[in-house]
Amino acid sequence: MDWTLNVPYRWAAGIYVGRFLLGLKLEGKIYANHCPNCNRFLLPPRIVCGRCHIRMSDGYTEVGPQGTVLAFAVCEQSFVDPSTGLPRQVPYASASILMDRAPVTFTHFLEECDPDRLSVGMRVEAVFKPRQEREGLVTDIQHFRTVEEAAS
Amino acid sequence: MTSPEREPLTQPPVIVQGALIIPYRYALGQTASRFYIELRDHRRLMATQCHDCGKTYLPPVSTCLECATDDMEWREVGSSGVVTTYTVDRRELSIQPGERGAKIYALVRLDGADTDLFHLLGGLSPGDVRIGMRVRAVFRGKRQGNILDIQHFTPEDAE
Repeated sequence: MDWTLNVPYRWAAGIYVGRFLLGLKLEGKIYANHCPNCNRFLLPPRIVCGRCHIRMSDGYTEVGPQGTVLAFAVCEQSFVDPSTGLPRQVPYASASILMDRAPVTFTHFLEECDPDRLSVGMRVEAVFKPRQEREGLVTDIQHFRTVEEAAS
Repeated sequence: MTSPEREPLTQPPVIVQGALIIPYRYALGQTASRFYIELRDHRRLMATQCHDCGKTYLPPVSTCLECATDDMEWREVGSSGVVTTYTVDRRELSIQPGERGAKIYALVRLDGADTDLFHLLGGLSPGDVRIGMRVRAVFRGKRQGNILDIQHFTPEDAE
């Protein structure tokens, strides 16, 4: 028996995540926000700090677009990608990236997927899709590419 | 506790759309395979009948639920029967089978069977369904070996 379960969904992102997604789509910028009590940043921004249970500070802080890889993983095993129903292309790499300008991490894909050319501490930079292809999704960032440090 | 000022909406709400698309396949096993192959290739509804107690199961089972014996025989049942009970589902979800609009789900006791088949009713409005009414299967032209090879059951006297 072959069958395909197709479950479309839609959800309202709300003011804060909505602002984040519009930042990606319209401005090509990554926005976080800040908790006035514990001083941490949240990315994507949210209305309330989950630790302090208070409203976050007003406004948003632009972070990145560069950052430093804190951890990475390379996936070699293909699987069915539920967003397309098709096998995911492999290999691909994902990383937890400590963004510049605010102490906050962001998880995304890396352009480089050769483990020998990846390292913790390497510098990476967000690559946005062309403006007309952006949809207001986190995948408006295509991936993070390696920043070649200028030899000095 | 002060109620915080809501940030004014400067943009229309951001709606994130997506889908979970999950293809899957599984082996039906001997009994269900035969049921679907007969349905697909011959538009026949094949039940299994217990040799001990005589109970006829549709959909077919390989083991009698009463006697726990696997001494079962294949037996064709009619493609018409009686509505045992029904329910109307007016909520539209894109994962539902068939055309848009209200769905009428029914249990149908086919002629010769002692159990009910869960399926859709079609070609009538929800207000016209009656428990006990006679219905017949409407088969699809292009059948694929699944339960929707029967499009729905429709009143026996309908065109």
